Amino acid sequence: MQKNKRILCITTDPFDKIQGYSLEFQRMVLILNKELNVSLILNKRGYSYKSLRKTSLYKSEELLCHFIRVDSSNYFIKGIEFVFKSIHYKKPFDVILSNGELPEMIASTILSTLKKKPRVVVVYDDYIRTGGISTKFINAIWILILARFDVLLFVNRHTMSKMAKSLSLQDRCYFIGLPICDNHGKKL
Amino acid sequence: MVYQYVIIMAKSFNYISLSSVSIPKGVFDYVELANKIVYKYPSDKFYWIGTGDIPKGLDGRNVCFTGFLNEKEKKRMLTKSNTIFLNCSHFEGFSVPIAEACLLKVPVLCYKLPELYATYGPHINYVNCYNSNEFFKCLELLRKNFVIYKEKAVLARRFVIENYSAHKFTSKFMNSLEVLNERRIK
Repeated sequence: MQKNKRILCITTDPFDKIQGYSLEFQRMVLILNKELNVSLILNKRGYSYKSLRKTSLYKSEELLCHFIRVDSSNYFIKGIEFVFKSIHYKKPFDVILSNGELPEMIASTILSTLKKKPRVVVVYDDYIRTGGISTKFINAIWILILARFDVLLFVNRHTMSKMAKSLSLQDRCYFIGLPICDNHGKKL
Repeated sequence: MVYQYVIIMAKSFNYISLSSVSIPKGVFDYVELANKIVYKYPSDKFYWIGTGDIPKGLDGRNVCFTGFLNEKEKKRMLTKSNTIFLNCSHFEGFSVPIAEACLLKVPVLCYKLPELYATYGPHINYVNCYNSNEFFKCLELLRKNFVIYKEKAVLARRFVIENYSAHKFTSKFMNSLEVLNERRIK
């Protein structure tokens, strides 16, 4: 992988103020930005982005961001709006790196198909948070889309071994973990 | 020996948990643990760093919920002497706070989730899943043998630097993308 390849990263900043994996994804993007040519698609007024901007990690590594305005009050429509607006990204890129949530995975699948570029996803866990039918249905769609990615990057080996076996994706799964900086954003 | 003596004399410990305040993150387990420990060792202090609504019916009088703290404040709290990092979470993907605690040489105690064991191996301290009594006993043991666990935390720091540093991560990321080039060539 050449260092001059342009990597387009895509994440929704959560609409419900629970930062979780989006914050970890954005930290990861900032750290990759030190050595690679990275840009990020993100919805405006992001809570994770706001808290990340307060850190010295962000101050040391300004990130090229493409903001999307999402106005709806309904979570479902917000997700659709994010997908619809993000697929209009026009700048050139070589690889698309998606956060492992459904809206950005759909957006990156459409965008990479339109531009004929490979797509990569970061997978954190495979938990089904509630036992409801709608959650199980969403999880089934998530797995269907996940299996269509060119490379699957896992943050823990346990989830990787479980999913790679059950979906027969061994040749596309890689364990990378997450990057750790000291609290002042310096490299270790 | 002098260091050990100072710790035994000090007898006051700080316990820190770092995540959003929510039930799956084990806030009830943490509060139960705090109540047991503070009852036995009244000078010990429990802190929960992170935002979120405190669940109704939670008896949190022995825990200080600090809310959001910036990086400097977090580091200041974690680097206080006699500090132990606790993670009562019932599910995790990677747990960056555990890695950050390891980096600051703070002993870590958490539930033995398969994801955490696969990520940190034997370098941190585990308790069988969701067994609060065992958590209490292990924490007491850690408290009594703090010097030994502090030495283990030095090895955990080395493990985290060797496996999850920014440089290591970037090279792993680039290696995993090599497969795209190989496929294109084929």
